[in-house]
Amino acid sequence: MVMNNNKLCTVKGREHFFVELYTKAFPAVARFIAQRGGSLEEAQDIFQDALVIYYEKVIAAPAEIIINEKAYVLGIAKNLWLQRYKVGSRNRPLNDLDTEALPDEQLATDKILKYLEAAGRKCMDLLKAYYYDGLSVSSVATLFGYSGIRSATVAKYKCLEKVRESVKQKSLHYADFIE
Amino acid sequence: MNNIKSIDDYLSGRMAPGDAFLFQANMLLKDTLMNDVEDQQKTYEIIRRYSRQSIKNEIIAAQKIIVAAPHYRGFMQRIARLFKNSNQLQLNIKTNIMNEEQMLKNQALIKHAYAAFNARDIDTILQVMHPNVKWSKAWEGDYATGHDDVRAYWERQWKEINPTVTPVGFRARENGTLEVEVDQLVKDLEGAVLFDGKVKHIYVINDGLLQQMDIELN
Repeated sequence: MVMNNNKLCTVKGREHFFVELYTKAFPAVARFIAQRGGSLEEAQDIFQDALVIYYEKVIAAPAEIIINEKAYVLGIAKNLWLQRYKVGSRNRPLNDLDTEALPDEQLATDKILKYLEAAGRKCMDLLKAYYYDGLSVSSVATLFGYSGIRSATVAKYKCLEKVRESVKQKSLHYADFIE
Repeated sequence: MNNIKSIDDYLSGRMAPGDAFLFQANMLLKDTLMNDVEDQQKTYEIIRRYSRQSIKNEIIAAQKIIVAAPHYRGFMQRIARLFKNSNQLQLNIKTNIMNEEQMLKNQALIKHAYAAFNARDIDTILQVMHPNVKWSKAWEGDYATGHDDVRAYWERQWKEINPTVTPVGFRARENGTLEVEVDQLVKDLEGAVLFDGKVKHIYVINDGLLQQMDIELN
C-alpha cells in the first residue's frame, strides 16, 4: 500500500478533503435522493457512507485514476441508495456492505471494538494509519512522534499483539459476549 | 510466542514463497499457531471496522462544519429547498390520491341523488343535502335554500313538468367544485318533450353533503 495523497495523512487534511467533496458532490446526491422521496437525513447518511467508500478508493489507488470525483461519489451514493431501497432495511451498517460475518462473531467483534476504543485509542489509531489509511512506516513514525522507522515498527507490532490478545481473551470468554 | 510479525507477513503476502509453504505446514502441525492466525485475522477486521467508523466520524464532523458555517448558509438553503420540493411533491400526490377517493365517493353520492330524484323520492335526496343547501331553481330562477324550500320547489315543479336527469360525466374543477354533465329530458305532463339535451350541474360538496348546486347551460 502506498500513500498517494499526502494531504490525507492528517485529520486537518482529511477535513479539508471532505468539506470540499461535500460542497462539490452533495447537491447532486441530495437531488437524486429527494427525487426518490428520501429525506435530508437519509441523503446525509448515504453521503457519509459514500464518502467512506470513496476515501478507501482514493487511498488504495492513484488519485489521478478518478477523473470526475463528483460523478464517482454520486455513483457510489446511487448504488447505496438502491441497495437500501431494494433490501428495504434502511439501517444496515456500513460494515456489512462487503463483509459477511456470522451474527455471533459480529456481536463479539462489536464488544471487542468497544473495549479497544476505550482502552487503547492510540494503538487503534496507529494501526488504522498503517493498515487502513495505508501510510508508510516512516509517515506513521512522523505522525505519531516516534524517533524512527524501527521504533514505529516495534510499536506497530506491539499494538497488533495487544489487540490480538484482547481478541483471544474475548474469544475464550465467548459466552460473556453473547447477551 | 511472538509470531505477530511472521503472521503479519504471511497474511499480507509479504512472505517469500518457500517460507510461506513452511508456515502453512507449521499451521497444520500446531493448533496454537492456527489459533493465532485466526485471532490475527479477526484483529485486522477489528482494525478495519474501527478505521471505517473513525473516518465516518470525521466525515460527520466535516458535515457539521458546513451546516454551521455562515458562508455555507446559501448552499444549505439550496439543499433544503430540494427536500421542500420533494415534500411538496409527496403532499400533492397524497392530496391527489385523496381527491381520487373523494371523487369516487362524490360520484356515488350524485348518482344516488339523481336516481332518487327520478324516482321522485325527495326524502332520500334530502338525507344527502346540507340543512342550508342552496339549490339553483332553473325553472323559476334564484335559489331554493334549505330542505323545506327545496322540497316545496320540486313539488311545485312536478305539478307542471316531468324531468328526468341522468349524470353522464364527472370532472373535479380546480376550485374544488364538482362538475356533473347531465342528460336532461323534460316533458310536460302530457308527455311532449320540452327539452332534451345536456346541461352542467356544478356542485359544492362538503363532508358528503350537497351544499350548493348551480346550473351552466352549454
